[in-house]
Amino acid sequence: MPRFDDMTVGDRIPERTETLDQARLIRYAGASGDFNPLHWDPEFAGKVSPTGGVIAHGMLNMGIVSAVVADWAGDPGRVLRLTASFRAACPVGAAVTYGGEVIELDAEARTATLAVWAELDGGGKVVDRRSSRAVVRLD
Amino acid sequence: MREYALATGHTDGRYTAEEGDVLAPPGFAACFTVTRGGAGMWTDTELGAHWNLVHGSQEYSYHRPVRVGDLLRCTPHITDIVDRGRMELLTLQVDCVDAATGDPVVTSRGTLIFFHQEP
Repeated sequence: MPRFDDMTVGDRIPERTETLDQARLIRYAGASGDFNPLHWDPEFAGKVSPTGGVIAHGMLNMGIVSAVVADWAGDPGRVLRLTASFRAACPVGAAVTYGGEVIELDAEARTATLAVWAELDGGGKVVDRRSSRAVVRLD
Repeated sequence: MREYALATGHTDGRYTAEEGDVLAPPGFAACFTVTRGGAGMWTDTELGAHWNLVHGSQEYSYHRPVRVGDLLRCTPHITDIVDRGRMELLTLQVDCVDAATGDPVVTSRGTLIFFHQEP
């Protein structure tokens, strides 16, 4: 479990890369109740999607960011705040890398603020690290 | 909660345990704040919500972890609507409190971008 006194601004948490195939999107739709056809119907997505095809739920990407942060923090109760700014569309089948970096430490509150992200291979900012944050309380 | 944890790759065994102190991952708040929490938007015909939208941003503040057995009362408010020409930005805040004590549990704030052209 990470300790506050061991933290330095610039530290990174373990990254994770996942491929979001259609089965994963359907699984997330069922788990979350978000059945927007943009995430499973190629015909509908072809009319409205910014990529011209099915794209992943923003909240699936935020959910995997939640996993990367909470699994690192060791306890969901340590995660005080999670924000995501969705920028690039995430096409079905994309490989996405999730990560976080400590950008601020508050010694009084013993909290670390992390910039967090979900990024495509080509650099597309699905969850944009410039404005997406996790605040984690540490021992 | 278990299905959410598996769909999003949370590996902590407390999210998927059969018994004991079963916790929700932080992101699980999506399941009771985003589609279900904002469900009233789709039934209000005057509001004109439609499916040609994208999720712009989402914020969660956690006051305590969510556990199996919690009964939460979630109250959605539309806190802002901004017209940006070809799109409208709607901000939905959902305050989730412990139904028994009224104590805050999760505060959600999401921005949805509605495009003017319906699908």
